[in-house]
Amino acid sequence: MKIEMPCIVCPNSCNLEVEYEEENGQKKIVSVSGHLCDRGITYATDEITHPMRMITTTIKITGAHIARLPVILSDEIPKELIFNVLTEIKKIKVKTPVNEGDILLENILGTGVNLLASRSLL
Amino acid sequence: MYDYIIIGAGINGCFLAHELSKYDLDVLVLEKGPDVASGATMANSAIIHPGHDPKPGTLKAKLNVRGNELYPSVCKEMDAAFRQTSAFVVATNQEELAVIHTLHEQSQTRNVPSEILDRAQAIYLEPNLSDNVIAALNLPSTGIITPWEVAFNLMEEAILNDVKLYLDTKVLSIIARPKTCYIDAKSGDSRYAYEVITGKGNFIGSNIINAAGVYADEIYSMLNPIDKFTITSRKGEYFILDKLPEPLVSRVIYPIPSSKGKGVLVVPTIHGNTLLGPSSEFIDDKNGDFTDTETLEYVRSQVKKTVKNIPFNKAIKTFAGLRPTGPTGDFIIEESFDFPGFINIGAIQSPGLASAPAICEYVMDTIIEKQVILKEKKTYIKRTKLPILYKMADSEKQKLWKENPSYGKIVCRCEHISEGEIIDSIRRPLGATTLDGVKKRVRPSMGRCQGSFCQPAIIEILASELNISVEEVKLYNEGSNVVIKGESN
Amino acid sequence: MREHELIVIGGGSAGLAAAIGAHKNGLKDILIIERADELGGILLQCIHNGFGLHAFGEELAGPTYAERWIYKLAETSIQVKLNTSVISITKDHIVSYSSKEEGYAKAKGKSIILAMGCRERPRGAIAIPGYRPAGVLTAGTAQEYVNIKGYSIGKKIFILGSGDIGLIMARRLTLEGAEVVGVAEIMPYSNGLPRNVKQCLDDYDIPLYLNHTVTFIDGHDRVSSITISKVDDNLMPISGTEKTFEVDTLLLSIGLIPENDLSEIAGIKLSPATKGAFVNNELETSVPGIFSCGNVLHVHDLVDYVSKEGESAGESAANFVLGKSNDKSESIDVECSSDFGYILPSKINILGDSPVEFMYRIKKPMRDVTIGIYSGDNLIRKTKKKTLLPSIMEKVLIEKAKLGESDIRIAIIKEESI
Repeated sequence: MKIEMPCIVCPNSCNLEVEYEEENGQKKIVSVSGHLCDRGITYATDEITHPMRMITTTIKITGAHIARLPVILSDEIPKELIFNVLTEIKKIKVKTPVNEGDILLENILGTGVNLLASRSLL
Repeated sequence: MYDYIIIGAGINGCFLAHELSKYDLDVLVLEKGPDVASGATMANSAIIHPGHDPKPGTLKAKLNVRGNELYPSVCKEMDAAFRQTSAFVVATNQEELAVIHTLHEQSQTRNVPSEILDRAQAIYLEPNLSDNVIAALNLPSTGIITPWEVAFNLMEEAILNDVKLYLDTKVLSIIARPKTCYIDAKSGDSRYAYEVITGKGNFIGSNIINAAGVYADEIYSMLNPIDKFTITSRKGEYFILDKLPEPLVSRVIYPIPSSKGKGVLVVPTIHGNTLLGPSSEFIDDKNGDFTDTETLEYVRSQVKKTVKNIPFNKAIKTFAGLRPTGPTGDFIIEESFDFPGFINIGAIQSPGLASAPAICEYVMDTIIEKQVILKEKKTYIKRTKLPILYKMADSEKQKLWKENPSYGKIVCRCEHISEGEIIDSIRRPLGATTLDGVKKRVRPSMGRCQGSFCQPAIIEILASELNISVEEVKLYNEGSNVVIKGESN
Repeated sequence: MREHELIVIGGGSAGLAAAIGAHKNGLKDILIIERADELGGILLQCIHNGFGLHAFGEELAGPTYAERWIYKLAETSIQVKLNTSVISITKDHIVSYSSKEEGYAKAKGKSIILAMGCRERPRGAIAIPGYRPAGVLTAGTAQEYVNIKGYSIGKKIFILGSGDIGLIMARRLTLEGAEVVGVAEIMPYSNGLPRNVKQCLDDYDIPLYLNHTVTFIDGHDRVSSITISKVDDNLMPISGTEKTFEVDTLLLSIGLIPENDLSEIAGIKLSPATKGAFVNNELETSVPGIFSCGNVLHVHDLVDYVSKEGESAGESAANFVLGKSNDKSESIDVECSSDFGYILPSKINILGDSPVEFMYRIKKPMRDVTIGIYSGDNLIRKTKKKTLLPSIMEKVLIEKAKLGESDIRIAIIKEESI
């Protein structure tokens, strides 16, 4: 099967052409084209076999001049886990000081992915 | 018992409250909306017409001319902006030229200054007049104001002089109490007193002034369901254009009037914007102040007939206003025959704003003078001026800042309004309690971004000044909260 | 009145990079004036990732990207005035500003860089009919309420306009527990990056109604419903195609406009195409010594390019102050064919030998096209493009020697419109 999909890895938004085969419910990539970098191949493969997503959100912070601390995951998580991971993230509250890159939550739901502060609030 | 209960805090209610506050009288004002000037006074063309077009012999003709005469001094006294811009009624063909001549003659008989200009003269003064314009009737006494500014300032001074104002107070019914309830101070006769039932309590007044705008008919019919009048809402839709590097027009531009009114106008505003409108359609719903695609398109097509080079891409806002239109085409200003002491000020459509100070004068002279003894108060308190920084020289601004540093913090970047001015607008005697209230008083969010930058800041200032939560801050009406309590809070 | 070598108006991504660029090129006395209480500009509320691939070689969240630049700034002698609003700029470089700390004051810049960013078009700009209830707000305002202040702006939301901020907010609000019932776009294509359509709408099954616009907002106090209609080829609503959605909030993502109020006051000539200043290849405006960069010059797609443009403006300002600028007496004009929204710069100084980077946007999506850049009648660059989208700002770098002394023109050589 041949499909087109926009690559979501970076804002270049390459238009990928992906050819894959399906056997016994297992999808296998035959070819990927239209990518500007190799991350496009990884993305296309993941997207067909097990889609992954990055998530960013905010959590409550006290002691800062703003009410919310923006946070980001250290890596992508399986797409189907987005809302479960969010529930875990929303449970936490932090206090200043926080530095950009601080780990706020480790190995969320056993994914091996951490939650990081995406800015400093001192 | 109040001497006067005024129903409606629009421009007429405000003028009368202010006038009555000068005398030893107990005055109460009941307003359904969350702020004064929340009906027709908020959404109109803001023009002080010269009085050239009302039909001869009408109250409109008489009071418009007089109102135009009074405005410059009223605005000066009340520290409200007034600009005599003059106006053109433009003709685009021979038939319209004849109408201009008629209007010119009519103006002359009323002592309204007017002159007819040929195309060249008109174009010289207004270069953006459309190519079809062949002549213009110049009406130099035409002026512009900010209607709600006049209303706020009048009511604020009235409050300082002991007039009571109840906002968010809708009149539910009015009962005429037996004839023994009120003894006329002048004649010694007894007559009705009136009990006004509202959601916030009942109030008894010996006299009532019904200045309820589009609802004036409903108010009167609560008392007199037999001999009632009908007010119909005539909707006008408008565009507001951003400030332009070169003004589109410097005068009010009228087309030839029709049975629907003065037509679709191009109007400069006090603050340098341009108003395009209004349309004119009767509607059934007194709450129906919405805009619609077809009518806005109609406004667009009509203004092009009188003015060219209109930058519609500079529109920053559209809105609709409802004008209270009566059965006769004239204002209804009279004391009820069946219910003495009950004064109707109804059907105050255009030129209602322009006539307002004259309506007040007329009501005082022909009705109120006969009802009560007018004894001037011993002490009368003038309201203090609101500092408006953008109008000031740097040295003046710096002086204010030294007194209060928050005058140095700009909150509204489009109109350059400081935090200090916003706080002032909330702490004043007639202080703002809503986002629109702040906007109408000191103009943040009036500019090209329409509040997308400053609203989050103003909402927090309001919450802090009113000692309420941010979620409780309203745009305007009950229920118009901007941010809502969510799980994330 | 203090005189600085350079005053930068705005401490967002463009301003930060501009100040740093000027510092790198030899200026010492640089002042950034920022109206907010911290540097970083709009990036601080753009908590999503995707920033920095070009500038730092990694994908960062907006606040992280800003912080990287703020750290760079901290290593320099660049001064910053926060909580300070510029009220006017004059042709002779006098900047009037105000703050709680200083009141109303003035400063002079030997050079000035405009980096004020852009603003969102409000409801009135496209005259959306209906009532005027609470619950109608621009996507950026919603972003500030939700991401910085932590307020909730609505429970059931419709979004008009498929620009990137609208798409990003569709996902953001979904993740915050709101229900986004749809996005309408008046054009036959999305105005956002394709990746945002995919990961912000498709991932959450949010329908995108192309060729639709909002034709009515109902509700006396809070929005109670909105109605969308299909539009015809002239973008006018077709009656009978109405669909009504019961929502409490309408978010608007209907375009960004460079915020040139101050540029207008300074008498700087603005381009009707970009709504930003006309600039030459040194990013200098029509007023000598005043430069413009970032979204106040033209709305960019990627912040990395904003930073890059900022650094270039900083370099040009430094050259101007240090007397290293090229003579500007001779220049050539740059223009584009009607297929393009705009091309920048609009003027190129003949003297000087730095290569010129042209930036342009197409008006409507195109596929398999060849873009030609001409110097007079000579084709000097031919670029094949598989796809061209209005949401993407294209760039092309051409050596100075190739440009020649005739006016430059960009046009499509062969096209198959989609």
